[in-house]
Amino acid sequence: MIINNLFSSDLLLLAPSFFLIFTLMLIIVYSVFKFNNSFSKNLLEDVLFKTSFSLFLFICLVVNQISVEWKSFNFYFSWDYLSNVSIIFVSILVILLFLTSYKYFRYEEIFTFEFGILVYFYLIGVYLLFLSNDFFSLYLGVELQSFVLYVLCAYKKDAFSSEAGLKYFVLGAFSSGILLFGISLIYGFTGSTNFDDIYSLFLPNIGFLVSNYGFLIGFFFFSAGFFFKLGVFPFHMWVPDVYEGSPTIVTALLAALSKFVVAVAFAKIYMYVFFSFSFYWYRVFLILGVLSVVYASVAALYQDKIKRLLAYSGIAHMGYVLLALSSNSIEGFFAAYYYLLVYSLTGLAIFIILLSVRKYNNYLKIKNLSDFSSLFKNNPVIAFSFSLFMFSLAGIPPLAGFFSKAFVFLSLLKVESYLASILVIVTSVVSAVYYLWIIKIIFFKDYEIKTYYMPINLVQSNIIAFILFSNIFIMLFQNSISVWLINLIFSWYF
Amino acid sequence: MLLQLFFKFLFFLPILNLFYLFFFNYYSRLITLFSTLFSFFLISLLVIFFNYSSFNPQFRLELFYSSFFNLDYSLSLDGLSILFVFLTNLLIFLCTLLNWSTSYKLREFLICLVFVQFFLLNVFCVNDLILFYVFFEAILMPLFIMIGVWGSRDRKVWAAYQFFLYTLLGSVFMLIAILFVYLHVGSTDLYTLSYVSFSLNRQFVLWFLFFFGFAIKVPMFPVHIWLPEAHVEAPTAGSVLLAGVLLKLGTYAVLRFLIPLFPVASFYFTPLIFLLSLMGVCYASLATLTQVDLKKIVAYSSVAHMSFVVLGLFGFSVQAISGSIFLMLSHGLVSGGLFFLVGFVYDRYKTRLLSYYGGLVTLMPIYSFFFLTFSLSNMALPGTSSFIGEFLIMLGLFSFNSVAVLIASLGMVFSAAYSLWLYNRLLTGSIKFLFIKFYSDLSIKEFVIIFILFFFIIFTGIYPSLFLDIMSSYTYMFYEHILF
Repeated sequence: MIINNLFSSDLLLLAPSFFLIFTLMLIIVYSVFKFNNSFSKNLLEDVLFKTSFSLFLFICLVVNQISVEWKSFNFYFSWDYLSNVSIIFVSILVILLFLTSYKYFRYEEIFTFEFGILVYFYLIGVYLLFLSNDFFSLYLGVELQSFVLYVLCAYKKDAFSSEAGLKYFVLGAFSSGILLFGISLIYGFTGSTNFDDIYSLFLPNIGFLVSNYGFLIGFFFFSAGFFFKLGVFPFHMWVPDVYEGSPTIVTALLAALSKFVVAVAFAKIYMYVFFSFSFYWYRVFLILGVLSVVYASVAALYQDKIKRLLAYSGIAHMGYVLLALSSNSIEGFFAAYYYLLVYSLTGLAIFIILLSVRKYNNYLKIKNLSDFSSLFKNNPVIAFSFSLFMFSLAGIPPLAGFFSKAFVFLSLLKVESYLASILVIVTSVVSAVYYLWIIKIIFFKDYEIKTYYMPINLVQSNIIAFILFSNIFIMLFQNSISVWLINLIFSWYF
Repeated sequence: MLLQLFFKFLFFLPILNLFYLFFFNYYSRLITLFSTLFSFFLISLLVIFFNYSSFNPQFRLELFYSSFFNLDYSLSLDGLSILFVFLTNLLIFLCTLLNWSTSYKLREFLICLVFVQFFLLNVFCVNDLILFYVFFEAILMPLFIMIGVWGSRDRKVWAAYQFFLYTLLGSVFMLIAILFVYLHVGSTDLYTLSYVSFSLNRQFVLWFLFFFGFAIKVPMFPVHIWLPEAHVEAPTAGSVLLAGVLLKLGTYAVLRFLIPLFPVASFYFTPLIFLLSLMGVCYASLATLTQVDLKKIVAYSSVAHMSFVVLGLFGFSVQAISGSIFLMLSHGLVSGGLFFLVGFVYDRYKTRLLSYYGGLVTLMPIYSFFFLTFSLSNMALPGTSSFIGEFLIMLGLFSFNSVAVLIASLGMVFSAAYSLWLYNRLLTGSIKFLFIKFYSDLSIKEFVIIFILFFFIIFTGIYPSLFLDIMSSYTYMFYEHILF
């Protein structure tokens, strides 16, 4: 009876996780069975459809308990509104990605069904990561989602993809080791891995941890691991290579989802566990943010492959997120969260366009910037929407990218870091150059060789249109989104 | 109530037009022409029924209120903005008419044009700093695409880049300043801001941040490089809009935001402004004399005239400010007309270099008549609208700083020199038969376009009260409430 009382509510809260795991097992068994019986080209689509449907049900389950605040399993996991909203957002992005990937696999002639299952595994890792209330569960979540990404990067089995996967694996495993080392040092000097315990150690009357060098070294290694996973300036080397080598659909996953997941999960730690410690780490965040914005904006000027360019722009955008977090206030966290939402949606739309625009003669997708050259002549609607997404990333109002940048600068100005904001805002003009470069190639260039593009299918164009309209008309529902989001974050704080 | 409905129509007409253009491909130019003509008709009605004696903004249109930013998106017209909305809609209508027979991607061109119309309407009618910034920046997008796609030469990419990046660089500094004002005051509404005063040091810093953004847009002397490039490479409609309305955004913002928000700093930095403006007037006028490209000549003369406008804005008297506003409007008409005229000969002979032209007066008499009129009004001959503006500026400025007036009048002499010399080289002399193989005078479409502008120039030159009465409520309020 006692056991029943202890765990009944916990198990109820775990219902979405159990659902995820059991449906995953069912789908694996189903697909392996089907695969062994007869080889079918439709199996991949079948699996994708089933995973999308069960993800939809998972979202319904999470919505059911969206506002529950509870910590369970010996304070290993905590449920709160913010992480539920985040996991719902990630699941929606995954569903959109699944829906667009049908045509992609057909053109690329990849018929292995594991993609859907691997991304499902990834989602379990993400859910674990968001729920974690302990450094152990955090590490489990980080590792689970990173391992899936390593495998996915090598999904295509050609030289580039394997290279990307191997590179990502070696460097990612190394960074995970650093992260774990940092966690072990923190455990050694605080005696606990639990977030709540470590948070209470920082309370003014109790803690002298700030002057403890062992803890500081542990914190340093932990942060290095985080910066590596996020891909900001001194730890960014893997980003362009992995983006370029891995299949485009996996790049979309990396760009749109994994950055969002890592940033939100770790921002929660910095904003909660290390919050009273912020006078120490805000300078690190500020300096790394400025450096990654400046470095990535300059480096992206010299790229001529679209995926490398987007990788560098991703580094710059993560720099903005770090800058917003460096103000260690509710506004800063709100700005970072808003920035990540807008960046993920816009990045997803850009990658869907990259996935769907194919040359007519050889079905090849776009690789170099110059391949866009006759997009305006052949498909003006896609050309307009693509350039609008670029303008949005460059931060031109009234598109959504402008508002996200404005919130970042607002939080920076609020804590009076004027120098950083002026440096970054001048760099944002530099970054406008390469976004305009893409627009220039789409609209202005007149090449001798005309490229014709395949028509884009209905699902993809609907998703692009949806994101485009939400990007353009953000001003109309800007207020409600901001108020809702800042209330969400406010309630998470207290 | 009816007039408010008209204003609502004026706001929603471009949106409806855009939706039509996006989703339907039939009769796009006819629909756009009709919509722009109707907008022009509506704004004319609003000008006629505008209450001259009221100091309040009129025809208020509430759209939404954002509690998060404390931001009120409502449009209203006062004595200043109604004139610029009038100018915008007039020029947009003429540009649509001009592009009647364009064949290359006409629908996309019209989409860009209507976007410009919509954003300009918003820029002139909002009463909020952040919203002003939003629409001020948003105009860059359609114009960047316009210059790049429908521009004429290979250098257009460079020009579009310069246009975009110069303006962006200026306005991001303005964004920092706006966000700072927002943090300082908690609101960016103009009415609220008029009751707030900043400390002196803050005024100086914020003034510089704002002024940098506006000076690039005007453009003032050292940051004017983008303007001739962008004008030369843009299509005719783009040049007309750039010179006619977009340059006025800078001076409009100086009048609307810079001086009312930071009056002490504005007064403090007057010598700097005078220096830059006078250098702009003299340098740009002299630079005009050396140009061989027709559009570049008009562009550099725009730089000179806009510097003159800025000179008047910082004259701190009713006459100078009214003169500045008048000169802005008149310059919108005159330089717009000159760009149209240059576009007409470019369509015929496919070159803009002066050395290929000569003696057109015998081939195109109607054209040369209009060219002469516009050249004369460009040099501010009495009887044309520019004269009223420049005369009022000098009148107001004389008691404030007579040396500045003296140097500025030197600029007027130069403007006479380049205008007449341009007329001389382009239209008189012997016909260069080697290059000019055929002749055709203005078509009916071109005649209508140029005649409308001609009518407004002469009419306001003879009867300046048309504009002066409308702006009087604004200028008096500006003078009374802000400068004292």
